[in-house]
Amino acid sequence: MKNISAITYKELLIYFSSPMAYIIAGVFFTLTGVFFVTSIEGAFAEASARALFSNATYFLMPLIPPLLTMRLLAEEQKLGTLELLLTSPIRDYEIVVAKFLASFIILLAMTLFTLFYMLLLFVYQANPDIGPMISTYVGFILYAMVALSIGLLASSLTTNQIVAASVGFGIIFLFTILQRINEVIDGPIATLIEHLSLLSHFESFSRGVMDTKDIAYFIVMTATFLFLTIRSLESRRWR
Amino acid sequence: MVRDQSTTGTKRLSRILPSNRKGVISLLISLTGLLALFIGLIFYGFLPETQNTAITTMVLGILLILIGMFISYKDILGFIIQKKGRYSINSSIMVFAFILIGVLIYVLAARNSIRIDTTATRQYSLASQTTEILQNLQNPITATAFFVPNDSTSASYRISTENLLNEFKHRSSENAKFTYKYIDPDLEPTLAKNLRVTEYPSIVFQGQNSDGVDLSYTLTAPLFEERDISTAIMIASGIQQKKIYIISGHGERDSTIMDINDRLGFGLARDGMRNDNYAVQTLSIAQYEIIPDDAAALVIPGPTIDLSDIEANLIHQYLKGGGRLLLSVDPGTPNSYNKLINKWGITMIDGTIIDLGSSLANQPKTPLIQQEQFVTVDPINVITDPLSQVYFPGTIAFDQVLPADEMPDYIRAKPIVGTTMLSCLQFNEEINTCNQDQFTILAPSMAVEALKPINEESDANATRQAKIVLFGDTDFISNYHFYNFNNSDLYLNSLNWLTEDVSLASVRAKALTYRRLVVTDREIQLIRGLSWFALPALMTILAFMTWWRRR
Repeated sequence: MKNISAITYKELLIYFSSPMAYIIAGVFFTLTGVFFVTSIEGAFAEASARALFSNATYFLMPLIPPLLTMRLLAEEQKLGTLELLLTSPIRDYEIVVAKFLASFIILLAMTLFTLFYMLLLFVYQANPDIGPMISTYVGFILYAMVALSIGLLASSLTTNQIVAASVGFGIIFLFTILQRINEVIDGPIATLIEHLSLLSHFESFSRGVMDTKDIAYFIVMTATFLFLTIRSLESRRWR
Repeated sequence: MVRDQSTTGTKRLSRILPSNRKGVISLLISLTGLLALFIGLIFYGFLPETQNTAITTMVLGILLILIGMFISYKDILGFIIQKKGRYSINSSIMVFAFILIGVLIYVLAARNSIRIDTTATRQYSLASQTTEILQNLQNPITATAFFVPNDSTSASYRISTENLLNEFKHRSSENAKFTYKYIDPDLEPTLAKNLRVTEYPSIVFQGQNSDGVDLSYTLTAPLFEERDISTAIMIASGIQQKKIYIISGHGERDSTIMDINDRLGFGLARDGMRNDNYAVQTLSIAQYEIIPDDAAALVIPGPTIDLSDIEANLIHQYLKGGGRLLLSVDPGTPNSYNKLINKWGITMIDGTIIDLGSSLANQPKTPLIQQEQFVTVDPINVITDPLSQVYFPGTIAFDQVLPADEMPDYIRAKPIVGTTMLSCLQFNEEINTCNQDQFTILAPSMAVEALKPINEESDANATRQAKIVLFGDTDFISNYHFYNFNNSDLYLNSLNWLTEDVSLASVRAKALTYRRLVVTDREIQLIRGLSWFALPALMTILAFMTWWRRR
């Protein structure tokens, strides 16, 4: 635990000491601001977090998490500092979990800043339903966990940050658009795709329904991609 | 530099590619097998009609891979024995095992999933009866929703309807019998025409009964509530309809009038019964002098002419045999109807109710029944539980013919709703107030369950008890008032209670709360400005400060 917190702290310091994290956050807030205004301006628009985060999962999740994680392992490999980490008395999983936690804290902070939009709904007495708002945030945070773990895996596969971001983007985007494929097919493959799709598991949260099945999906997916990242790091010892 | 890179690439390629002819053949066969497997999978998923060919292709692919492996088994074995091979296999097994455990956890969670509805009005908590209907479906049901994307009526229903259909789909996920799809009728006019859809938004439910006969049922706005969808599914799956007979011939309300502004029409109520999966017919007892055996209930809406003795006796005998009656009267209803219900322990009280405590738009002769005025004791709670407000524009009151302690125990009569304590009965049409000494609580509606009439022997053939629901007003279910507040729900719930279709009564509409941002143009400009610029500006300042410090 000590090792994890030390690495997490170090990564957070790196994030905050570089303008990059603020630029990424700026992009995130610009787009969420646009999504928020669009979501409340329609003729039958509902005062909720639903439309905002539905757009955010579709457009921002493939983009922001890979940008946050692209540096984490790729840069260490490029600079050769990963060897130092791997040969120090720190377990592989501690490295991966710590780096994941650091990126997660940043994205969580960014997400919590969006409560500003919800505050506006309360200030202007739009009477939003708090339950679905909370469930949408829970769903979005779980979604972000999966996206970050995918980004971290991509970062472990290459020394090039751009390649890492692109691979991460590709995988997250694939899991995001799986649901769209379902619109043109039927049968068991469609069912399988629906189970695999990130968006179909987020939909219930955005409507205000928290399903243990969806929570299990996000946790299992996060754990799986983190495990794959650990295996990817470990494979450096014998490759 | 370029030359160096290409040299490295060639070296890597030569390491991957086998050096001997046998190896090359083995690789080619294996790759062909992989390709066949992939093509088979694609066909299997995207073209179900080519399923057999797809499976054959996949089997062929697996065989080719095995043949390829067999040809080079020495090389494969060599790789496995090497340190790298051992670690690779070890790692693969671990990854496979981890994914398997993950899948198992997910499957277990999916099979025993708990859904928590966080909405304030429990919008997605489908009634247990709805779940039961979905789980008992024998044949698949498809709902095709025709919504025009840019149409304002469609837009107003789209989100709530999609949420509900999605919830229905979720609840039927165990047997996967219910599916839905959204269609833009402008893009697919042929489909709309084939399904005989003429107005939008509409949802067409298609299914089959147990004999394999195709059935379909169409819902149009505003009937997109949980109850409407449940009923549509029941109809499309061929669940047998109960018959309701609307008595005619005594100046009753006209059930053929559908104009929503008609203050006497009963067409919307009749339509509501149909939407509750009842087969509705009119019946002239005077003409046929018989009440059909298949009558699940008789409905008498606002009669103005006396029943003949024969008719009254026929209805009485029907009730004695365990019949069900839904009678709504008005002030000044002929006495034969009072005589009919007197035998079942209830009497009409002359005069029109005036409620100074709760009335619609300050019209004391239109009592407004609030949530706390509904009687929620068993068995009436089935009718009243989900309701919040109804009103009766000009109603009489009912009471028991005997004091409560003298009522025989084979008759259970209960008010369904009560007025406030500031109510009285007024006989003068011009007066809209009460004297203080007249104040009392009155019952504009009652429900009766009885094994037999007062002072009569029970019918030997009766297999169930008689049930009667009485309303002292018929205007509240006229077309003009039917869909206002919970008027329609109260009336149809009563019918469901009579016919013992309590499942439908418990899946009535839920209260919807207005959750819209209503702001002026100036305010929306401010919100837009804050949303677009406040947080990005803050981040820009922080980024600049960080850059400045690092510089």
